[in-house]
This record gives sequence, C-alpha cells and structure tokens, in this order.
Amino acid sequence: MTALYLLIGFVALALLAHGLFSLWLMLHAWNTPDCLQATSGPDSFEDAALSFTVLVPAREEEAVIAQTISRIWEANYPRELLEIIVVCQGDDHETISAVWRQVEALKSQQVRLFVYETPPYNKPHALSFGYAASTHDVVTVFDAEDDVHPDIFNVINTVMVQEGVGIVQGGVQLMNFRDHWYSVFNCVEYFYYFRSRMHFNARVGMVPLGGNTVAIRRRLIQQVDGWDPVCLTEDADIGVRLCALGERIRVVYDSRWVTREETPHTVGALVRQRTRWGQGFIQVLVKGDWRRLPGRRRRALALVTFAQPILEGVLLCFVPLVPLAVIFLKLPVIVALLSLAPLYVVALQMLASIIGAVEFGRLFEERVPVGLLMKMPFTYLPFQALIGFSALRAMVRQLRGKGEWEKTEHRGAHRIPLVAPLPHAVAASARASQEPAL
Amino acid sequence: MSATAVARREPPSALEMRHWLYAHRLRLAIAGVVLLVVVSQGINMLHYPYLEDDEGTYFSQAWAVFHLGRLSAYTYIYDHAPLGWIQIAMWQLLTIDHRFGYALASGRVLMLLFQIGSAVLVVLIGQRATGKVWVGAFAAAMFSLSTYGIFYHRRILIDNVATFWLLLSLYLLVGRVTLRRVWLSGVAIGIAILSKETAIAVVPALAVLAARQTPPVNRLFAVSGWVALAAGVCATYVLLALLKGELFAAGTLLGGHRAHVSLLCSIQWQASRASDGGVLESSSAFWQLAGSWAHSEPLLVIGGTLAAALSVVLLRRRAVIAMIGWCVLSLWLFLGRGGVVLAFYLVPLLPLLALSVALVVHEAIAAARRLRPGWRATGPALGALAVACAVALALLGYMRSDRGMWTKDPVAGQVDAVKWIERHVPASSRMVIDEYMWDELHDPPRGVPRFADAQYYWKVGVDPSVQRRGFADNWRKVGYVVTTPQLVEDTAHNDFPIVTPALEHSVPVAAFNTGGWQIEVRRVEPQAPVEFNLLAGKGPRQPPCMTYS
Repeated sequence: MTALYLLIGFVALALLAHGLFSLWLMLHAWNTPDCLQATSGPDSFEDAALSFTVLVPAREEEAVIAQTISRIWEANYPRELLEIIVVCQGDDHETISAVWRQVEALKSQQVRLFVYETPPYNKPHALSFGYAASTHDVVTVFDAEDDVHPDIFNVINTVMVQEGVGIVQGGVQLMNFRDHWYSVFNCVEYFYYFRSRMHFNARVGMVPLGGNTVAIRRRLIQQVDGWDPVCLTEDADIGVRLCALGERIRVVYDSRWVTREETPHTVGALVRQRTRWGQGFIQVLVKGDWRRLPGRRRRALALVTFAQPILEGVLLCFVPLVPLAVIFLKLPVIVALLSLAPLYVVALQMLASIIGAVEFGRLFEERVPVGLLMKMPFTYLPFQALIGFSALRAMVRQLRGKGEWEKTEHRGAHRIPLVAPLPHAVAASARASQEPAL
Repeated sequence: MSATAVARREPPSALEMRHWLYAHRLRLAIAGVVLLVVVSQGINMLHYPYLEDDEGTYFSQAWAVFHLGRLSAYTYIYDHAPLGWIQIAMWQLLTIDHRFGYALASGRVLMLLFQIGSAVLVVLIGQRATGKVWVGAFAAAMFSLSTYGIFYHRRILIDNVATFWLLLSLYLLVGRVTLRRVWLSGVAIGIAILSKETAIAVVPALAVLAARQTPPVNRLFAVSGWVALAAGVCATYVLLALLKGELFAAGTLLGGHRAHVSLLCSIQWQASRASDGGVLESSSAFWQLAGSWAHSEPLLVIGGTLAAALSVVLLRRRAVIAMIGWCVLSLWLFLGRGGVVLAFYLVPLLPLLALSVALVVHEAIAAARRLRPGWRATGPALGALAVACAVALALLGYMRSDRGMWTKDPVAGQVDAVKWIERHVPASSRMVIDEYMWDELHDPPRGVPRFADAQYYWKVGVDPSVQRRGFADNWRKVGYVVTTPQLVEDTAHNDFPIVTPALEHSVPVAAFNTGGWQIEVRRVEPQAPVEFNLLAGKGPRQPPCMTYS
C-alpha cells in the first residue's frame, strides 16, 4: 500500500512540476516588457542582400495553392532574389493543374513546379525533392495554405544580416478562432507557442523548428543532410539536428508579420494532426539525435519537450482516476491532497487559455466575444481530453509501427476575404503593391 | 615572486573608506539591522516573557504534524489554518528536535529567525521603494526597537510567521517588478493567509499594488496570476477539509449525520463572535485595546497610523506608499470589524506602520527640498528631527513597559515547575495542565518519564472525547491540576466540566513564581474544602462542530 501511495505522490508531483514548468514557458515572454521587445522583429529593414528559395510542398491543396503562390510572388522583395518551388505528388492531378495554371499565369522561370512519383508520400520527401532543385542562398518553407506576409523576406533578410544567424523561425498564427468550439484553444496554443515558448527554446539552444515560415541557410541544410524522410515531424527533427551543430536559432514573433493559418476543420482532423505531431515527437525522442546536443540544459529541455505526448497521455489517464482513487481507495489525506495537485495545473492552464484569448484578440485587433470567453471554462476539459487522446493514439501507433502521414485538409477559412476591410498592416502592404493579390 | 610584485598596502585613506562604506551601504544596513534584532530580541528571549498557553498550543500542534501525522494532538477544530505550525514542524524536523534548554525554546529561536527575515525585508522594501537605504534602515530600526513588538515577536505566535510572508509578498511587488516576482508574491500572500488568516485583510491593497506596478502589456497576466496563485494556495485548505469530510457542518445537506468538526461551521462561528460595534462604537473592545496599544507603542500606533492616513490622501500617486497605507488601514478596519480582538493582534501591523512612517518622512524631506532648493541643510535637519522624535517615542514606549525584557526571568519558574512535576508526580497521573508544559510532559528528553495523561485544560473543558477517554467523564479521576493565572481566569469565565470542580477541590502542593506568572501544582482531593469559588457560565460556548471529535 505504501508503494502505491509513493507512486501516486510521485506521479502527482511530477505532473505538477511539469505543468508549472510548461505554464512558465507559455508565459515567460511577458516577464518584462523588455522580453517582449527582444523577441519581436526589427522596426526597419536592411537592403535586400540574400536570395531566397521558397519551398511549398502541396498535396490536395487545389483550393488554396494558387493564392498562396501569388501572395509569395507579390512579396515586397526584389523578384530576382526569389525562387518559388512547388512540389506535388504525381497522382494529385487537381493540385498539379491548379499550380500549373498559376505558374503559367506568372510567366517566370523562377516559379516552378516539381512532381515526385516515388514513395514515401510525405512532406519531408517533398522538401528534399524541391531542395535538390533549388539554387538560392536561403531555403524557406511555407505550407500551401499559408497567408504569407509581404514583408517576411525583408524581416528574415534583416535579421540574418544584422545578427549573423543562419536560421530564422518566424511566427505562425492560427486565426479562425470563432469557427469551431476547439478553434480558440488551438489559436491560443499557437499564440503561446510562437509568442513565448519558442523564445525560451531559442535562448536555451534547443528549438524544435516549426513546419513553415522557417528560413535556413543552404550550407546548414547540407551539413545536417536535409530532412529525415520518415519522421512525422521533420521540422522539429531538423531543428534538433541544427541545434546539435551549435547553430543559434533566432525566433521572431511580431503580430505584424506572422504567417496566418487555419485550425483543422473537424475534430477528427484535429486528432489526426495531433497524433502525427505526438508520434513525430516520440520518433525524435527515440531517434536520440537530441543526445548529441551540447550541454545538459539543452538535453534536459529536449527530453521534456519530446516526452510531452507521453506526459499528456499519462495526465489524461491520471486525472479521471484521482477522484475514483480518493473515493474508493481511502487514501490518507496527505496522499489524496497530493494526488489532486495536477488539477491545480489544469485550472491554471485553463485560466491562461482564457487570458491568452483576450491578449490574442487585443494584439490582432480581433474582437473576441465575451460569450466565447465564458464558454471556454466548459470547453477546456474536452479540448484537453482530445489532446490527451491524441497523445495516447500517437503512442499506440508508434508501438504498432504505423508511420504513414495523416494529412490535414485546408479550405482557406483563415484568409481574409479581400473585399472585407483588412487589418492595417496588411492593408498598407496591399496598397503598396498596387496590384490585386489574386 | 619578485619584490616589486608585493604591492605595499597603504592604509586606506578616509576618502577610500567613505567610498567603500557608500558602495556597501545596503549590506551594511542589513548587517546592522540583523545585529539590532539579535540584540533587542535575542538577548534574554528564552527567559522573557513567560511562556504563554498559545505558544504551547502551536508548538505541540507542530509536534503532532510529524510525530503523529496529524494537525493537532487533539481533534483539529479548524480554529486556525495550519500552515503556520506546519512551518514550525519543519523547523523541529530540521533541528532534529534539538532543545535549546527547554522544549519551547526551539520555537522562540525560530521566531528570532522569522523576525530577522521580517526586519531585513523591511530594509529592502524601504530601499526599493525610494532608492534610499536609510529609509529602509530607519523603518527596520523602529520595527525592531518597538517594546510592544519585542514582547510578542519573542513569543511562538503564528502571527509572526504570517508577518514574514506578508512582507515577502509586499517586497516582491516593490521596485521594478517582473511577472515572476508578481506571481511569487501571490504565492507568498497565500502562504501568509494560511499561516494566519488576518493576512487576508491586505489582499485587496496588494492586488491593486500588483496592478499598479505592472506595465499595461503584462498587467493582465500579472494580476490574474497573482489572484489565481493566492486563491490556489488558500484553496488547498478548503480541499483539505473536503478530503477529510469536514468541510460542511454535520446535520446539513452535504455534511452527513455523523457528528464531526467542520471548516464552514468554524468560520461561521468565528464570524458570529462579533461582540460589539468595533470601530463604530466608542466603548468597544477594539477601542479599548487600541487605546492601550497607543499608550504602550505611541511611535508606531499613533505616528504610523497618521503616516498611513497621509499616504492614502496626499501621496495617492506613489503606488507603493499609498498601497502600504491602505494595507495599514485595511488591517485596522479588520481589527475593528467588531469581532474578537486580542492584545497581540497588532503584530502584523507593526512593520507596515514603521514603513509608513519612514516613507512619509522621506517624502516630506523631498518636498521640503523642492520648496527650498537652495537650503542644503533641509534634508539632514528634517531627518535628524524625525529620528529624534522616533527615539523619544520609542523610549516612551519602553518606559511604559514593565522594563524587564533584558533582565527578568519568569520562564525559570515555569521550567522549575515542570522539573518538580517530573520528580514528584507519578507519570501515570491524570492531570489538567496549561499547554505551555504539554510538550515537556508528552515528549520529554531521554530518561525522563512521559506523562501521557496530562491534558490541556481547554480541551478537557470543551472536548467530549477528552472528557470521556481521559477522565471517564468524572472529575474525581483528576489527580493534579497545574494552574497558571490564565487557566484560573479561563475556568472562571467558562463553565468547564471536570476542570472547574477539580480545581475547586484541589490543594496546592508546590508553587513557582519568578516574575509575576504564578504556577501552582495542585493535588485534587475530593474531600477537601472548596478553596476557589469560581463564577461559572459567563463565556461564549463553542458550537458542537468545534468540540466533537
């Protein structure tokens, strides 16, 4: 019995510690106004010096790909320094023809379509394929549904030139927080992840890079041998291997320049996306490249980061069991009290989500309805349950050796209809380009 | 080593010395204040004042935490939140139950440590609030030289524990704050409240301070985090009661029918103990005590309160000063709410009053300098005047005390009484005792018998399970009553079963008094003529939820 008590106490304290630590990571960027300042982007731009290759892997993206390509091509950056490479899968005829029409329309040798026929059919393979054909100094990755800010290349160019870094991760932000009951949590997660958590990782020197709006100098990709074609989170994986080189990664989050994306359209899609991420993280954990990271602090952070899905799964199992244990096991009061500790973390994180929604609305000048905020305490637990379930599913899939790519569908719900009034930053740049974006 | 490498060390010039002193002024001030506390409080602290019943209560409840795995050796009745004596329990664990002479001495040593911590925090708060070390040092000096303060700071009171955490919470909000500091402040105030509930009075003022000290970009995170963490820490107490099945009162919808103690019932009872009109009634217990406080501690009570009032009216724009002023006023209002007030309730106010005085003096000097920029002596002159007034008032406070704090030794008699009992009373005797000797008798040093049947008189008076198990509901089973003036007075005011008749039918066998606190060991002789004539039945009775076990 004592062993059981000790186990319960240990698990509860571990979950408490981990929960408080993640809470700190979520919020540390707000520690002082200086922190916020230091993690945002430059206020004025350097002259264009670097040339960019933009890799856009696309699969079943016929609805959004054309607009994405034209937005990138319309960016405020000298066109001769840009190169867009769209990579499609051979059997995906709709996307191929949509891309082809757009490439024809733009009439430029620098916008090209590549089609690959051999498995595995996944993003890292597409990236490697496109990378092999690319020529420019800096390789950037965008997803087919991304709303790329016209000044993003100026931002990356400026940061790379001024700070001498080889890797820049820009902010990514889900925007359609009103669309589904879980969207707001999804948006807030991204908000905290890119606004705060990633900066902590960057400071420590262990950054699981994001899947897009990431710019890496060509020689660094060569040095780490490119993307791992079988990893489900190739982005996080290459981030770890780049960090193992000792390379500094600069994370830039500025609400003006974030890449806008959308949340998954169904609960099923959300679970599949989360399962993929969870499984990818477990793969990175198992692969063990993180053990080559210099410094104990980095390795510890890597361990905590990539074991996250496992902890989430444990939390999901643990939390519902606690009330049962308290009622049926007749736990001693102190053990019962300890076992409830993770609930504090759940409550604090729920509060953080609500505050995050308010801050998100303020920063992006979006009105977050009070009704939505009032609903959040009730929808928070179901959302956490989905995350926990996805984490368990990821563990099960990894154990059963299922490694194929479950893709997220995109419709363009995050895009601002061009007839509607634009937030001022976007509006200003749209005027500057003096051409319709489509 | 060549001869030239051995630099000849010149004695430092006066200028160098002054530079060195200036560069290290904060450390020097802290060292000075620590020394001051060690001298003013530490000297003779194990001998004066006498060991009070409450000190024994907290110390024995602390002992129960790790030795019995409970919050009290008797039924824990939710009279106070337990974190204060849980900290004392950790100290006992840390010192491996080392006795600094007698059992409670170790608790008084801990109180000295808490007081050193509090005084250092006062220095730091003053320094961070104004940028001037002298402000902090001045406040800390007034705080540690208060005669009233020294009397109660030596005692094992959970108020001293709570004061430290309250000051820590305040300190974290002063100066340039970060999110982390604000959150830690929230945790600290939570710990303060669970150490002694009085601290809850300053929560609104500190919450406003947290909001005023953070810039708009992170204010929402800071304030909601502060509130959530403070509430979270406090919620643990409610959760504890819930898990023990003791949140709701017995006989209510959620409380079940089995008789048991209850947190909500205890809170309700404490709240309903309102005896008079408090601040609104000039003859209330609050005003009587306030009068005696003002008499014995004129500097802090009158000067500090005036300074606090000035702060909230004239210095509204200075967030820290104004909110410390509000802390003082809210604590005063809390004491004057019309409930029970006891003589030591002023304790958490002292450092805040001292800070108010020092901060207002600092502002007055700054204002005078602005008015007369040419007159360079303004600052030193006003400062000297303030210090002179403070010294005079502090001396007045000392003159009005019984002036025994560094010389008298009432504790010696109390310790002698215990030794006498250990030698002359059979260890199996059923005894009714004052709680100051509970630890000595129940957890004696090696080689000394344990008096397992010595029971605290208040519990014998109100706890049916103690009456039944300890004395078979029969006062004739009592072998000895060890009286203190407090035991006699409480028994006279309350209709205690067992204690009252046992005391009435007892004869003194030994008496000890080394300074105004009379201890008598009295043997109960049922046939003896009634010596005491106790008037019974005047005090408030505790409700069943605070007596059942």
